[in-house]
Amino acid sequence: MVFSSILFLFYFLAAVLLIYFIVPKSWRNWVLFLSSMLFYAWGEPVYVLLMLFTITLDYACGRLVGRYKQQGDGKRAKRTLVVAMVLNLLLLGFFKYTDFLIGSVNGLFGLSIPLLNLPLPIGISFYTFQTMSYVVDVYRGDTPVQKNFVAFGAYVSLFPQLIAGPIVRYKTIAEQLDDRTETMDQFAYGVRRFMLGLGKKVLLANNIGVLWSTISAMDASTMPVLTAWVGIIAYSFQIYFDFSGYSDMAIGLGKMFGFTFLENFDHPYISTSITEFWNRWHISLSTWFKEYVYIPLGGNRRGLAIQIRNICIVWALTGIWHGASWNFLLWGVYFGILLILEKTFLLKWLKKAPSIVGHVYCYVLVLISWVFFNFESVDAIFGYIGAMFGAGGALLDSQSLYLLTSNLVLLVIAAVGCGTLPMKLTNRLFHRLGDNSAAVTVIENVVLVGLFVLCTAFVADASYNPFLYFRF
Amino acid sequence: MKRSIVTTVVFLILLGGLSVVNLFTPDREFSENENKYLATFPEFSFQRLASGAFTKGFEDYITDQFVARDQFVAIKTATDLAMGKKDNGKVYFGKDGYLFQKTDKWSDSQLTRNVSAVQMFTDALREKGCNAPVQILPVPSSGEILKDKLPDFLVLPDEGEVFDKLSSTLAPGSVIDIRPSFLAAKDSEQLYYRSDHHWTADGAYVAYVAFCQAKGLEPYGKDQFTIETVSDSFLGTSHSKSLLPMTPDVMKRYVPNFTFTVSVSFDDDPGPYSSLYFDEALKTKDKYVYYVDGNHGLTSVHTSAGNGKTLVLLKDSFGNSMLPLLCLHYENIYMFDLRYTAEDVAQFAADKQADDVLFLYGIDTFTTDLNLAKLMR
Repeated sequence: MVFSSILFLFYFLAAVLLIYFIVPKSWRNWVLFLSSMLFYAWGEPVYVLLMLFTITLDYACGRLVGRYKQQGDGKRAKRTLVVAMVLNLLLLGFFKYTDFLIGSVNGLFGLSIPLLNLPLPIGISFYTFQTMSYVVDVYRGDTPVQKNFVAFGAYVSLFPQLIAGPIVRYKTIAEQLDDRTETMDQFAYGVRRFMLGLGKKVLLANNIGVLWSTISAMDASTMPVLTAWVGIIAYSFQIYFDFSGYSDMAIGLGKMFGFTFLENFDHPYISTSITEFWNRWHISLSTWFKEYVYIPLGGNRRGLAIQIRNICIVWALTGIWHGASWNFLLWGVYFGILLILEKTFLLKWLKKAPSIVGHVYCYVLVLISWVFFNFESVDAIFGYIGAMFGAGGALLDSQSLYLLTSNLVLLVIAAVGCGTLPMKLTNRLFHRLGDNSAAVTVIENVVLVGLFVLCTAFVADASYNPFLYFRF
Repeated sequence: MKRSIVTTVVFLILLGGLSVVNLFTPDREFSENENKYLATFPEFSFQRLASGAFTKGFEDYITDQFVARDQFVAIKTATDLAMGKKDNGKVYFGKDGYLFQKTDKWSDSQLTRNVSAVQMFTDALREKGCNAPVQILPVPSSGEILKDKLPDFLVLPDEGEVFDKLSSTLAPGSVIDIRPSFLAAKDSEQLYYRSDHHWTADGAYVAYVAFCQAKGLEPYGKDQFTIETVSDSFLGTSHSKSLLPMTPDVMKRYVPNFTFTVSVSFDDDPGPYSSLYFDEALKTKDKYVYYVDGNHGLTSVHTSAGNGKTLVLLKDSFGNSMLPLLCLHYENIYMFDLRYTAEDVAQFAADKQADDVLFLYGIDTFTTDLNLAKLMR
């Protein structure tokens, strides 16, 4: 079930909100747990059992680790932790990477081992990382053991962030799971965030995605430079508004139910270096890798050589986390190399240069990374990058101009929307009028109604509603 | 706090209100704008639930039946237009109120298959001892002829390639190319509807004249017809794909000023009817069905032409509005729509001792239709 659908908005969400707020407080985790199960089972009637198994496994491991620690039995606690990690990774590996491995082995040795052709369980990459964080946090003593199965189940399966993140680490919402207060202020904030996210996804991402799908289907070998750049810029907007819109919706829905998730995006395209970009893009994933891989490996405290090794490991893993194929590995390695270059000398240079240099440098490199992200074969990747730099022969043609002029307003709105300006202006305006003044209330609700009608119109049109993050 | 209350209440009214209204709005059976039967509540079984068929069916059902769907789609298209978009993914917004259908370029292999289907049909006909000339009259898409009405910078696939392919594959003289006539007439007459992909009766008349010239027939002049307006409220398929408010198209018919009678029957409705026009259709959305009752597998027409000549016509819907004019020159016309029949047309034409065989297809159908393969037997 995707958020930007009639099913979710006008059936599921409406019903869950109603039930959640009429039942007694002590039932609310039950409501979240069961509704999340339904949310997941809707598209994955069989894989919901897999998720239940994961929940049970990590719930049990968490309790065991907790008990051994209480008994002062560090050895057994560690052994249980290792078992939990291995089982989680095996499940993720089996469902996500088996065919990739078989395919690679077949390719390398000329074999033809049959593929499993299992559909990928939706959100497995997200929820596996969440459950792993829980057992680790219990082991480290960062968080108390969750004794309530329903509360733990609700954490893992929580539908707002189930299929596209953010990856909520257990300790972030540990207390809220057991005791939270839903307030009107929080709910209203949740509404704003949710509608903002829905607008980003439905009005911007889907719309501009049509442009990218047109261009990406064209033959790169004869593609004019302008078309190639318009295409990949369109994609950069599509993926940003899609993904950050989804995170906004998750954070907003969380707020409505009284949860506070951490922010996942912070205007990534205004970055002046790749290092900064990754502090602003999919923050919950970078944080996860930092806390559970990079730092345990020694981080940057054991000399430059170890640090570079650690960066390589983290970025190979980050790449392959995004999808089980070679282009994602390449994509991760590409960022790993750029980060190493920046750590060793580039960052110092960039700091001395005017900031525009950093902006252009970072955005162009990110655009190129999206080419890796998009095409599975190396030929297609370099074909498209070639087209960006003139291999297609022409600078522009009639079609480039058509696509550009037809989407110009949309591209400008998207570009402005990536920056901090809209938020700053809104804040300044609201501040001047008085944050709780009648004027602000009127403006906000007029915008809310308009946005709601437009989003519903676009969802009802539904001619184009692919969801990018189903691959993860 | 006050601001929060208002925001919360407004959101809950919007979400809850629309949910409730949607839930209690009766289902519609048929959507005229989409020209399809809408999905109904899916059949439930545990097997269908486990396979995902039930949930998929349920989503189709609620999407199709969503309250005020047409109005919401219109809002969406209006937003596209307001943002300066030149298409909404389904139609291009042309100049002077013209909408043009957005289609993918044909695949060369399908085109090759369909051209050879025509060739194989001709061969089969000859084998069966029928020597009637086989010709094809491809109808260019509106965008091919009305280039000056397209949005700026838009370049559509060059349909000249299809004409070239046909001319180079089929016997000389097989292709009736109406492009010169259309280009000459496009500024003085409205050849295509603005809200539909079809040609108008005037367009069909220009093509008819070109057909007669190619066959060495004497076409009836416009002064020999009374040109009647049959509807001024036609909103066709392109309109359905945008649902924007627009000025409706005018539909006409050419009624001969001389006595001419017809008897029409269909493979699925023997009739016979004494008119080529079906008034009932003018009351519906799909008014183009007015011409010969839309598409049937086989439409048989016997006329008072009195020359004993027989035409076998293989066509898509473009043929329907041209048929009344072709009738004037043939005593018997058998019109096949391969999408709705499995008849062995070559055998049929040989049995009827056809004098002429004509393929009349819009380029879009001809380049993509999979049913021409039925001729390859």
